[in-house]
Amino acid sequence: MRKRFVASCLTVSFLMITCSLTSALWAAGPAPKEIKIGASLAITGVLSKEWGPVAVKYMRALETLTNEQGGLFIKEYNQRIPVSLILYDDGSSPDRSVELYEKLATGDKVDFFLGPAASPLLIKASTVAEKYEIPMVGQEGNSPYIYARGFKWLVGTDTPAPEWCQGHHQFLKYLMDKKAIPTLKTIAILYEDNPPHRDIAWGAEHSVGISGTKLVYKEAVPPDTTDFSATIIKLKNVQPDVLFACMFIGTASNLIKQSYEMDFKPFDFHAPHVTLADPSWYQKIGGKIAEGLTGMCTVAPFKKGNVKMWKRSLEMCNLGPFDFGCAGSRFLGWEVLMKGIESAGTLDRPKVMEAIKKLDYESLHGRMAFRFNAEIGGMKTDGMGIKPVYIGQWQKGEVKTLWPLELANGEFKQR
Amino acid sequence: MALVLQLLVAGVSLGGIYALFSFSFSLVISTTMVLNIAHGVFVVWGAGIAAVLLLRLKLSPFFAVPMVVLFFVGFGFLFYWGIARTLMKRGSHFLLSGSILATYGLALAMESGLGTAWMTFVDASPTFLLPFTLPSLKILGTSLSGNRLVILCLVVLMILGFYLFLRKTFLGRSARAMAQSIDGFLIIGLNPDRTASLVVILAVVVAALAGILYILAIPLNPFEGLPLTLKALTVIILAGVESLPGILAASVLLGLAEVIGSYFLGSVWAPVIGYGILFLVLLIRPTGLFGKGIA
Repeated sequence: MRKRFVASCLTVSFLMITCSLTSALWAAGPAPKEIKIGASLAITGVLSKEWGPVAVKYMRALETLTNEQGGLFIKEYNQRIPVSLILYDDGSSPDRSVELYEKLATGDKVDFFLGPAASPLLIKASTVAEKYEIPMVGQEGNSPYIYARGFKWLVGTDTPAPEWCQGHHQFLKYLMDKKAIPTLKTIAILYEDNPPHRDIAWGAEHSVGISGTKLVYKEAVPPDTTDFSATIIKLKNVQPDVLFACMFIGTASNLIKQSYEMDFKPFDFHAPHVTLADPSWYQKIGGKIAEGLTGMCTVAPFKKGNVKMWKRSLEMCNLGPFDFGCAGSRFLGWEVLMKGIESAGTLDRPKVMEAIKKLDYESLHGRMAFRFNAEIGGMKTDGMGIKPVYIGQWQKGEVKTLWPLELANGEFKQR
Repeated sequence: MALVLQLLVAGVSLGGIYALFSFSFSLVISTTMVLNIAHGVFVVWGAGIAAVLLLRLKLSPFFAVPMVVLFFVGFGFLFYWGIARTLMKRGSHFLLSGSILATYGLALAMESGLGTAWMTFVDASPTFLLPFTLPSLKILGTSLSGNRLVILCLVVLMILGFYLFLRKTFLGRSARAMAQSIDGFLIIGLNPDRTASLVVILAVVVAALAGILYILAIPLNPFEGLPLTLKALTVIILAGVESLPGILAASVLLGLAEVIGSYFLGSVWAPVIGYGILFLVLLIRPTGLFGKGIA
């Protein structure tokens, strides 16, 4: 009797466990062959100086490295699943970017998105992510406006645009305190009249207190302006110590060349985008003109985070550390998406999005986490990252990192 | 005083750049009555081909410039016999609308072709610029860009050359006669195709050379041809067709207006100033400030 009772209990327990496992497996379904990630890139067009074919090479390297171990471990399926990256050329066009993300969502049926290059494209492309409820990690594209729209399916890893120039003010203060440069008193700001650059200019203006300088001139210029004669005359009359030229590389190149020709040489000519350009830009504009320009980088001699994968990604593409100026932000965005998927343990999009938003880990750039309900650039934003800014300077055809000090591999040289 | 000088210098040098591609535009209209919307694209193509020869293939300018000239002689020949002549034969009723449509289509095709070819075979970033920077000249404490000064001097020489060509040579006088009265031209037994084709070829070659000089000062991309055409149209409407010295004066006036306007109102108003002037001139003096307008 007793033996029969025990046997019955064991049988029932076995059946219950088997049924639970079967239901769990049934609910998960068969594991997909691959995790599809889609993105558009400025491979050609006016923004390709900072992205271009080298960006494709680099993204493919990240894909290969991720799949070297078999891909991402997804707990739900208890196995590794390889990642498949689908990339299209948007030609630097925001409208084309939207078309391509629609194609990725409906035609290619990707699981997740990575963002396109730059704010003007991300502003539009992110609407597709929101429409189809597909998690998107913006890698560049850092205008606070993008993240102040209440979108639930978007986060951005890049330094917010208003914070770009804060780092430069801190760097100038450091140099002045150290007496490495004379005391600088005045700054002027020129900015291209489009979303990220209005925000960068806002930040440059609101950070003057850090360096103790005073704003003496500020002007918006239409995008793609070719003639800066009148503006340079005004700047020469004002004689600022520092010029912040907040514009994309094409417009900045026009300003830099004409400033040189018209003998306008502030102590520090800071154009954030110039140090994101590849080395051929230095040759194209002329070494005499480009030498000594400071700007913003996403790349530095990193010491924290997954440095091994970082170095391998560059080796696979045969790139020097500064041959692709946006490599640092591309790596970070990729890493965030991969970690978010693995952390969620599933490919269920809402769960992955939640996992991404909750990430808090040590990346190449230090602590990586997202801010919510944060006031940035005068706007309430959700989903902007905390990546720091690196200041670089063109010196003899190479970009040297000057700031922060723990990552610096060069010293400031006056132009 | 220093400010006035600075603004004058900047305005005149900008005007020189506008004159660069405007007077060859005027030449085609006055001779053939064809409104060539693709003119700015010829300027861009000249710049692009020169950039490839000089920077990519690293040819000497003494080889590269004649190669550009040769290419555009052939191109000008095809343009005249393929498009301009066909339009001229249609009669004056269809000439204006036909020339706008045909040359607009040509402009779009050429822009896309150059853009795609450049991004595929040359550089993903479609910008051409000659990185030769001449030393700047200081006049009374004002710096004048060496590149723009050279452009201004060459433009003046070009216009002077063209003025003498039109006044002193048989072909030039034929072109003027053809522009004044085609019937009279035919009566005296001159060959309109020969005259018109040579003038059009000359104008196309000059447009291409203008492109090479343009990128000494300002970068161009394959898609800037149509805005350049619009600028050239603004200049010749301001000047009046057929008045070459008027074109130089009008270019300088436009350059000064844009620089002074930008100085006092801000750069965002620069494009508005040019088109505002065009609008006013069309309202008040449609024949232009210095000559006859477009028929």
